[in-house]
Amino acid sequence: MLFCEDVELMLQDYLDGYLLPSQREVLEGHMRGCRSCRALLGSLTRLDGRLEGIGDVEVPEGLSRSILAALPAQAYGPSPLRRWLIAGLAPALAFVLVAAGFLFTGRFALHNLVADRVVDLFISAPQAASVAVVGDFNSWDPRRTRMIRSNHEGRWTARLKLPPGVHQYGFVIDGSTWVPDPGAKTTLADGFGGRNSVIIIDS
Amino acid sequence: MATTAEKTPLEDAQVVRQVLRGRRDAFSVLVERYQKPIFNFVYRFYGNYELAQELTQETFLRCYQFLKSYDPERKFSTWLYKVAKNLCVDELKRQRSAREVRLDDALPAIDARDVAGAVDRNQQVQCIRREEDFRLLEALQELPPAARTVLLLHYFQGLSYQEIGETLGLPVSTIKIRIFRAKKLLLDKWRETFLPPGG
Repeated sequence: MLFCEDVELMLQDYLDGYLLPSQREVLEGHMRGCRSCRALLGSLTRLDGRLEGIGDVEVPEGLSRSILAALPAQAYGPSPLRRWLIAGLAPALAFVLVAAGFLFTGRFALHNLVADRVVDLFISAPQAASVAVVGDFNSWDPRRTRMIRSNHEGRWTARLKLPPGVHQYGFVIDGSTWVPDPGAKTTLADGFGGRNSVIIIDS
Repeated sequence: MATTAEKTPLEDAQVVRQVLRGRRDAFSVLVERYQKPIFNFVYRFYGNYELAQELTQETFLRCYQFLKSYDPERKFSTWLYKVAKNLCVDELKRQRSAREVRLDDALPAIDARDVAGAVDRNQQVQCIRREEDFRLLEALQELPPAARTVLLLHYFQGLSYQEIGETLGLPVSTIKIRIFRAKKLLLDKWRETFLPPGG
């Protein structure tokens, strides 16, 4: 036997579909004989529909720009003392390592000190005659990183080595059409009405 | 499509880590990703377009300033909503105390429409376009802040009970009851104020 007060506690679960079949049966049994609980359920169902049907409003133009402009100029990162130590010690350490590398192997190996990560990029462009990768890592120059057509379905690939950090990039099809990476999870406005893709390389 | 030799999905926590390592520009990824949900949350909380703009900006500013206190084991979005919700409630208190000083009288618990003003109402109508939705949102803005918050987070921002619980620091069972009671309150408010007799 259910009382109206008990029904109220069960209604949200009922609306969410969380009740067990046996509980649902008891609740529906009560509602068949109780006009006020039936009316409440009807109203709540309509309200749910209304609330879920209200769309989002668009953000004001330039909101992200004003947010970013309002951020403190000071970036996070090492403290000034640590930064000074790094700035002073890192070149010295690099010199020692490179000199040691030269002594042992007879050649310089500075590039080994930078932990770049391998990134494979690909895009499907069956009609394209050429595709290039452009980004902050190659000065957005389409001549510098050309992609290779890897199969007859029009898949173009490129393998890059990128340092840790946040990189913005895109593709240039046939030397003139700039497009973001359709598979990128994040894009940012490029400042020219288009979008850049974003990739983060963890160190 | 981009893949890396070792999988590196663009998780919020990774972006936060980059910002904390000194990549200030990486914060723009978080702004792009969350400006719309946060703006909509604040806008619906108050029904005031300009105030929503200000508080959204303030939310991201606080977020940046206190980024070190973010626990990467938790969802970034729930942490961000918590910042936004606290700012909304603080602003409400500030407005209420300012009006109490001015009027030296007891006031209705919340009347965001007074704050929004007549000019803003026109803006709201332009933005929402559907009068019925607008009326429902007005009723929502008259609810106590706690009721408003849970409804907004659940119905508009799509947070689960669990996520709302994490945002507000409350157990899921409490959230469920709050949502139900908030809906009943909203129903009463909506009916008494806006629906035609017998509607």
